[in-house]
Amino acid sequence: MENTHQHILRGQSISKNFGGLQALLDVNFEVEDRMIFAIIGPNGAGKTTLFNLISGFDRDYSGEFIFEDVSLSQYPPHDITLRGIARTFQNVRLFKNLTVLENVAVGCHGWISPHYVRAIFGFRSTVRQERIIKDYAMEMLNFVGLAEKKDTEIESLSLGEQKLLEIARALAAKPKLLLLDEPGAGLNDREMDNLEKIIFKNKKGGITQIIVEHNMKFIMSISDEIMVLNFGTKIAYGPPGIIVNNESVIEVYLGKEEDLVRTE
Amino acid sequence: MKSHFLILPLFAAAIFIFPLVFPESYWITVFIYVGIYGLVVVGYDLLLGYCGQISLGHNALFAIGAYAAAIATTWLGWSSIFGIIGAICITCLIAFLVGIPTLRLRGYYLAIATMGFAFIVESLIRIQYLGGSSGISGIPHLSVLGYTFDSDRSYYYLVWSIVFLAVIVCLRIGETALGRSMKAVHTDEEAAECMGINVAKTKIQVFVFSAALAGIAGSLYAHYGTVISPDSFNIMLSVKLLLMLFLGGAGSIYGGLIGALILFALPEFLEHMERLELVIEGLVFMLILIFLPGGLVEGLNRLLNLK
Repeated sequence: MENTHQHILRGQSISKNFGGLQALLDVNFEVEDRMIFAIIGPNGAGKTTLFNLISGFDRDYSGEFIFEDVSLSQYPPHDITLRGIARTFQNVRLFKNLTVLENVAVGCHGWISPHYVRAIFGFRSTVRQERIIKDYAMEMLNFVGLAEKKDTEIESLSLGEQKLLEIARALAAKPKLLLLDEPGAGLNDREMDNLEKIIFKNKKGGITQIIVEHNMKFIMSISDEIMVLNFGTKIAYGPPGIIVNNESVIEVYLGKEEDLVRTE
Repeated sequence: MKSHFLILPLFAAAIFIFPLVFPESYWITVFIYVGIYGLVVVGYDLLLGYCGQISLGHNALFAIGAYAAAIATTWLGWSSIFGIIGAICITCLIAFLVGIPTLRLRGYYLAIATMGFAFIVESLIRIQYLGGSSGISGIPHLSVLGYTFDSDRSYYYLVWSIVFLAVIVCLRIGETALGRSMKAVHTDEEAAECMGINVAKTKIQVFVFSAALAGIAGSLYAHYGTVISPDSFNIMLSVKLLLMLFLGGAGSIYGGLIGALILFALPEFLEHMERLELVIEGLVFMLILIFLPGGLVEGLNRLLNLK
């Protein structure tokens, strides 16, 4: 679908205060259509908080997010998802009482809009709807490479597989913007390569992505633009080439050797 | 939950054949009550088993259904069909109004809030205007389009037809997109919201739907007994609903029926044991829940090697 908005998402003067702790202060950023936009920074810099604000989890903040020319602040989380923003979670929040396929199927909920009347009275249309959902969910599982595990229980998946499943679930919502919260944390080399492939496939498919990550090497190799946060403020902004030479960024990461090495 | 494809038809067959083989059995009456309470539990399973919302107020919804049907047919002289429709409407409306504030609560707080609602209803049905402690009597037999269900046998088939219809409907809700969103809400409300699920709407809808079934069951109860009094609707009924659900197997829809069967059939077998009756019942319940936390449905599944 042709996207006419140059900036998919704009964050304007975003500030968030947790009763005394200033988590974010006057953060501004612009994400272009199909961009891979990374947000990095030390722990506690406000990265996940920013995601929570964008996705509508937390609506107590000042400033505005403009998504496709519409301000997000008036919408509850499920409406924001319906508008085209999906996310994954830092600490993997899959639905343990559903199978792999069913987890992805839940992602379809927004554009399917199931309702009781159809479930009770429309036998054929329910069957058809289920077929559509299952087929799309399988497509997503194939996309991330988890197709054989479709009927497995969540507990039997490795961390890497769980993270892939979360991405599949988010993709099932047909998002225009995908928020990935530390998708690489805890993954081995092979899994990181796979993740990189998926992120590029997403980009090719027209999805804009914002990624929060600690793995610097990974971020440098895939991002179009990077925003560096420290203690809730933006300290650097630009393409990887600029960021890697930025004085304040180097200062912030001085001594944090482990961030420069790919996590094992 | 493929087990329902095998066990359910067998169970249905057994239920429908029973009165033909034992036409004068006292058990027909027992099974009528098993069906009536089972109907409540079937809807309750969607609410608690699938969606994880603990309601201790379903005894009140059952009572409202019973009193609504009774009042409609005795005081207002409506035909029983309109009485049941009226009962469903009132139960759903009250469930909606109660659900909006309480379903924001979770876990124990939700349980206590619904219990509070139940206490209010229990007190209200005791007022003189509604018959006081003697309740309402002279409720006419259920009649539809000229046919009157005045025999035990006809009522048995009526109740169980409605029950199995409800089971099929609830399975269709629970085993498709709606059911998955309920289960998602059960596990992680916030993650469910992020997947586009309107959590508040999901909870209220299933609450109201389960109330509708409780309302129908209440009407069936009123028309069978022809007399209803406040004592039959106290908190013990909600406790029994919980028992039926978990003994049978929460999250299976038809498990509640098996649980209802155990809860009502077991005492009949142990009747002659007097004081030991409760001891053995309690023991049986504990053993089932310890060794088969998924209820008897889990036991059946394991036995038959089904999923």
